Amino acid sequence: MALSSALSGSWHPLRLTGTPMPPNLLLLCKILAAAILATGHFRILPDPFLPFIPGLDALVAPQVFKTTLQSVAVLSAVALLCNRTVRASALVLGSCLLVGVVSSKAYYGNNKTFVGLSLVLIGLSDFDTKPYLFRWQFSLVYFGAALNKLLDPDWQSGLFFDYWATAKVKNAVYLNLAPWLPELVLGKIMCWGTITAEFAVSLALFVPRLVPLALGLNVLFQVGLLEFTGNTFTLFFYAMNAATLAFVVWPERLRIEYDPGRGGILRTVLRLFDPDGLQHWLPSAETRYLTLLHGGRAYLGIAAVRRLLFYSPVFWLGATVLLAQMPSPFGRRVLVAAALALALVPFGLAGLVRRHKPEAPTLFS
Amino acid sequence: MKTLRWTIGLALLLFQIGAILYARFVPARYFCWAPFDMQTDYRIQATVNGSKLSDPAIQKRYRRAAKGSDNRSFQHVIDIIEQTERRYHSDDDVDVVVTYRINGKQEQQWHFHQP
Repeated sequence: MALSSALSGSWHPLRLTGTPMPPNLLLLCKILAAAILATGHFRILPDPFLPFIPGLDALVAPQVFKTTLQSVAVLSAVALLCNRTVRASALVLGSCLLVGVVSSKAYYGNNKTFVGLSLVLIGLSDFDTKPYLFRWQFSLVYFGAALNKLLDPDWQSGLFFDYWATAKVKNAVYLNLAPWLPELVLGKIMCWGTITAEFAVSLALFVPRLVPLALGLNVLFQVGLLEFTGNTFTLFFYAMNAATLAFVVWPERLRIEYDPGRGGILRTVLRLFDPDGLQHWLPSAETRYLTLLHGGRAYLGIAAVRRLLFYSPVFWLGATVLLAQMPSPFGRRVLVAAALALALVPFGLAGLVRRHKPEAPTLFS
Repeated sequence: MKTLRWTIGLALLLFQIGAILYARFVPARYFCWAPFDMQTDYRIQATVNGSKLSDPAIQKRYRRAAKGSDNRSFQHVIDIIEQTERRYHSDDDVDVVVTYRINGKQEQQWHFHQP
């Protein structure tokens, strides 16, 4: 009973409001915390082994170091999910991963470093303005990755991708397509496509009108990697997609007009995805099923459902946990493909969006 | 407090920019965002004080599988073996041979001997 009442209030792990941190950043942090817990990543936080910072392996007994790091990581992740001291919790959880990274060359990895830095930089950010520190970090990841590939002869020749796709991933599409083209041509296309995409995202993030394009490219790139390999690259897939949220303007209120007859069931279901009470449902005789009015536009039917899910922590955190629990590459591919299909339904072509008010939509900032 | 937060944040970013530049002059790729940029198949063989190590013993000593693939700079594997011996087993008489192949190219060998 006590737990139930606590979870229905400010402790509710699916709620994003009522803390000093903006909802979009809090959701980003919660996705990372949920991924760390749901994948069991906290269990591999290490004891010191060949640390980058000399002396870290001589501080305390290795088992004490490891148990402390793992315990603090779990406690701070739970605190973050339950909206407790969110800035401090993000800083502590991120620091746990960074301490793990610098204390062990066996644990070191780009995905862990990015997750650690993301949480720390969000924890250090001002909450009354855009999270510049995190945005610069996101751009820097793509810039570093693109530069290293650009200067690597095996990336320039296409050899890296050809060997990776044929000998390692054994991707059926690549294996069937490559023989139709001259040697290494497909590998070259994929290598130079990757380099171009990574540089494009890195630079476009600094040009306001190109930000939506950069974010779309980021999501497509990460989804493409998962579909190609069936792998989330430990925490990388979660973190790179969640990074999109740092650019989203989170709504304070979503006005939905619905047909009480035909849209009633949809209303009941969609309200389950709204623990913060953003949705304001108004019965209307003029609408068919439902119409979402947001950002100067009216979204009809599936377009409205899609946008309501986009602003739902239940959807994001549920998808995170579900993906983390998928035991096979096939399951991960199907889940992510389904989410992408939902995102790419060509509602615009079907006339499901119309301009509601003259002002421009403010979905990203 | 705001100044301190920004100072720490900018220092973290500047460190990475330094690491990206530094990586242009060394084979290692630490903290410079070079994930999955190289595929190396390798096999570690080690003899310690005259006894050949089994695969599980190699895994335990270096925290890496005796045979496997690495998806970052191969220098990271070399660093782990070299630094493990120098830092944790400096009194041992060690011979290590790593046979490896980067991105499917010609096989190469790296040798380490201590003392």
